[in-house]
This record gives sequence, structure tokens and C-alpha cells, in this order.
Amino acid sequence: MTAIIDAEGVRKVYRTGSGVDFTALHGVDIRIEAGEFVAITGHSGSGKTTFMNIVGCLDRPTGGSYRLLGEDVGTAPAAALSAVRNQHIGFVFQNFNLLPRYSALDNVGLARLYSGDTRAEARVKALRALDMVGLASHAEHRPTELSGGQQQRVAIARALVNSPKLLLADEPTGNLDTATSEDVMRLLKDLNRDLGATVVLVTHEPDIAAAARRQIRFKDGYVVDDSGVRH
Amino acid sequence: MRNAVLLDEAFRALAVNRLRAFLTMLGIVIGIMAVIVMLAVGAGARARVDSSISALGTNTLVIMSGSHTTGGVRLGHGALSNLTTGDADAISHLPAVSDVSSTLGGNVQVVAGNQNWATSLTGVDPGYLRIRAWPLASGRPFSDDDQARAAAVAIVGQTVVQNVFAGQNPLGQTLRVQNTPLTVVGTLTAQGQSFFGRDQDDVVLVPLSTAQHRLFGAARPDSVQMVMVQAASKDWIPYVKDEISPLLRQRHRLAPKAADDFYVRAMDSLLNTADTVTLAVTLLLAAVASVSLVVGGIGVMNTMLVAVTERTREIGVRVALGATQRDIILQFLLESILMCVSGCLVGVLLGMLLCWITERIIHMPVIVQGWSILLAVGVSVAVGVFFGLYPARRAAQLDPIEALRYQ
Repeated sequence: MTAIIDAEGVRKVYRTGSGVDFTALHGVDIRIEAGEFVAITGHSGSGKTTFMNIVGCLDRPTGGSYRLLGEDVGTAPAAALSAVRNQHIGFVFQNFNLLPRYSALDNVGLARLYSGDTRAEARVKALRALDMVGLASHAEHRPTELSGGQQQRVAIARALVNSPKLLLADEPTGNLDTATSEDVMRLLKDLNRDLGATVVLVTHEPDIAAAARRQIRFKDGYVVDDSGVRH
Repeated sequence: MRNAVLLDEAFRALAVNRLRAFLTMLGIVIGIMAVIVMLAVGAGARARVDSSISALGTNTLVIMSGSHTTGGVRLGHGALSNLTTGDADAISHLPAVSDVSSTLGGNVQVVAGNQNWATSLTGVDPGYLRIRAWPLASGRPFSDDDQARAAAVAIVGQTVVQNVFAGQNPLGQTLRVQNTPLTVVGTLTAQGQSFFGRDQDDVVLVPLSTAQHRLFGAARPDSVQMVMVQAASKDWIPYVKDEISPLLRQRHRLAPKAADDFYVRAMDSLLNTADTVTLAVTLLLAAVASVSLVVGGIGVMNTMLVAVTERTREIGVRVALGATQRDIILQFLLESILMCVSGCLVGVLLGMLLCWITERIIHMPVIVQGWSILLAVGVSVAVGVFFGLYPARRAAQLDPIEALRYQ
């Protein structure tokens, strides 16, 4: 079976303004199979965010190879990466990143518009996705009219609307209180179990990480710990 | 993303900041309006100049007798009386000459009943009104018989009709010039002021022979002041001009080195000069107007740069959701083009309204030409693309990771 994520010796080097190179990732090998629920932990500056950006095709590795669904995306052209992000990856951000002037429905539908849907087609699918996160009744609300937990659920619906193989959540509970955090984590777990979506989340909160079946810990650009159940 | 959806997204983005979009558009509206009005005023002025010069006949040449110096005093063209009806007759036999009319005139005091009036009287050949393209308002033109008999008949202009006959029908009435009674047989249509400000309707025409023999006793009975020559078309003017000189030199028996004792002038050169001048003025006006269009364009660029900065996070989200560089560029480009095109449409409408007002209220001739509207639309799209491209490219080249973190 092909791994969803197959990173081999992934390196990322930033050239700083003074000309001194800063290595964020020193050859990372990580393989994540379909259906896994993985938490990536580490202090800030450990390289976990850099790794997530590469996994999400928002950034390219300086060295090593990165395969997503068996395709080498490390060297693919920009337009191909846009299509990969649209079709195969759903992003959930710490600060939700919903467009304030769009309704919940249009925020979710936006991902469908970039798949080539008409607005009407996008709305139908968006409503279905909102229903999955239990917010179909709030479809016409703007982000400012929703609570933090509701906004994050709208963002998760947006990540789901294209039925991606991979959900990438960057500190999804970072801006939420404990009770709401548990709600969101439960939702992610349900999606992992019921839809078979692979979930990779970045967090620095141990109890959030504990909810995942597998934890990968980054430190100073190296993977220092990779524990948990593997398929 | 589908193009129709991109357009819709651009509309929605503009709708969020209605006031800002409106103010940005206003710059384009004013620019386009200025260009439309200036071009229309220029075209109107040109048409007016053209028509008043055309009234003189664009394919006509005028031959005047030469200058003459008496005791150190140089007299102007027409002072010599060496141009004759014989010369005019010879010219009329040249190829490509369609009509010839000699004229002989002067200022006279005319009397009818208890009214009198100072006007200019001109003796003309029957072809004169054809050359001047000057239709009669009533009555009949001069006949060859009038010419042969030196008949005491006259055709009068509208100013004379108003002042001498008090607007009454002058046909059949008697008009006295010096001691010669003339019967009015026709009236001319009103021509208005000439390009040079002269009242063209303040005129009395008589047959040339009548002027020569009954009214102006000239040094030579067959002499004329001026010969008007009409060429078959405008293109023949240079040819006819080249033919006339040797013919007249031969007829006047001028020695090879002697100067011409006549002067030939083409009316089309006047038209060309006037055209060049009015075109230059039109272009100057349009250039000034397009400065305001450029300022409007800079306003669009400024607004779009602000929009790109404001929406940095949004751009990051769109890229994360799968927007390509093309999607981002087109979205912002469409926003600026939309502002420019809608500004242009409003500007064209307001410009036409302003032209209408100018024509009705200030009585200045204006002509809104179809091409100037097409030009306005084309230029505003170009302004939208030119001033929108830089902000749009900046948006598309944002690093999505930075953009998503932007506060």
C-alpha cells in the first residue's frame, strides 16, 4: 500500500539576510500511512512547522525527496502543487483563516470554486460539508457571528469539502478554550474514523497530542521521538 | 477557477468597499469625460472651420491681377487691371477646368424706395453661383442673355433683403445703384458669417458685363479683378495651377525673366492649414484631458495596492485552498478593469450629457464621434490592465506561508 506521506531525508535550509545558512530540517524520514492520526509536537523552532509547510505543498524541501500519494511533489511545477493542495489536502489553521466578508457557506464553497465548480454547485457541496460538522443551520452566518469553536468547525468543513486524503491541522485548538478544544478534537477523530481521512496535527499541548494514536516529536530540526501504534 | 466565477468574485470584492470603489472610479469618470468632451469640441470646431472654408469652394483657384507700384506706393493684388474676360475664356478651355467665373466688384450705396444701404456689389459670370455652391432662395439665376445684353438685373443677399427691402419680397423691385436702376430677379440663401468674420449675405450680384459697362467704368472695358476657377476635383488643383501660369504669361506677353503680373491662390491650401491648426488644438485638448485619465489610473493602482496589502491573509488562504497564480492575478486584475470600465461607461454618458449641454446652452458646435467612445473604452481597459497588473502580480507572488501568518 502506498504511503500518504513519504518523506526521505527531507532537508530545509533558509538563507538568512546576513548570508548565514540556517538549517530548519536536517534530513527527516517520516512515513505516514492512509488512515493514521498523527500528532507532531515540539517546541517552537524545532522544525515542526517547516515540515508541515512542506507536507502541505506550501513550501519545497531543499534536499531529500517528498512523495505525496506516491507522487514526487518536491519538484513539481507550481500549478501542479495548486491542484494537489486543492484535491488532496485540507488545511485547518490555528486562527481559522475564514474570509470575514463571506458567509460560512461561501467560505466552505471557496475550495470547490478552485476545483472548477460553478457557485451553485459549490453551494450544494458546501452545505453537505457544513452538515457533517453540524453547522448546516448556520450556513448564512458570517464568521463574526459565530463562536470560536463554530468558526473552527466551519474551517474543518472547508478542509473536508473536496474529500481530501489528508487533513493538515496546524494548532487547531490553539485559540480555543478547553471544552471547545475537546469538541474539535472529537470531530477530527470522528472524521478520521468514519471517513478514513488521514489526520496530521501540529500541537504543543501534551493532552491534545495524547489524543492521537501516534506522536512524532521534533527537536532542533531532527525527529527525536516517533511513538505510537503503526499500521 | 472558472472565468465567470472570477468575475463574480471581483464584483463581490468591490461591493465590500463601495465608497472606495466609487471614489477610485470617479478619477476614471472625470478623465474619460474630459477626453470625450475635448474631442467633441475639437471635432465641432473643425467641422465649422471646414464648412466655412468649403463654402469658398475647396476645389477652386483664385487668380488675381498683380500688384502695381506708383511713385513708391505698392498697391495690393488686384490693383492692375490686366486680367480680362479673354483670359478667363482661355482658362475655361484648359483641361480639367469645370467652371470659370470672373468677378469685378466694389463698394456701392444702393437705394430702394426710401431706404439706402452701403454694400458690396460684384459683377459675376453665370457660373459664379455654381462655383460658390450657393443656391438661390427665390427667383432665377443670371442667363447668358443677361450677360450678352448687360441686362440691368441683380440678385441680392439676405442682409440686403432685410435692410433695403425690410424683409419684403424684393423680386421685381427696383434697386438703384448710383444712377442705374436694377431689377431684382433673385435672392440668395443665407450663408452667415464667413470664417474670417465677414457677412457673406451683405452682397448684390449683377452680370459681369453690367458691372463692366454700366457701373464701374474700368481702364479697359473687358478687365476683371479676379477669376475664380473650379477644377474637376480637388486632386486636379496642382495640375490646373501649373497650367494657368504659362498660359497667362503668354497671353500677357511677359518676357521670360519678368515677374508674374497675376497671382494664383488655391483654396485647398487654406483648408489644409485650417485643418492642421484645428487638429493640433484638438490633440492638445485631448492630451490635457488624458493627463487626468492617467491621474485616475494612478488612483486605481493605489487602491489596488491597498487592497492587496489588506487582503494578504485572504490571498494566503486562497493559495492554500488551491488558487493558482493565474487565479490570483486575474482576480485582482479583473477588479481594476471592472473599476476602469464602469468608470468609463459613466464617463462616456456624462461626457455626452456635457456635450449636449454645451451645444444647447453655450451654442458651441460639438460632435461626439463614435470612434472617440470606442477609444475611451479601449483606453480605460488599457489603464485598468496597466495600473492593475503590478498590484495583481504582487498579490500572486506573495509567499503563502508568510501571507497566512500576516496580521
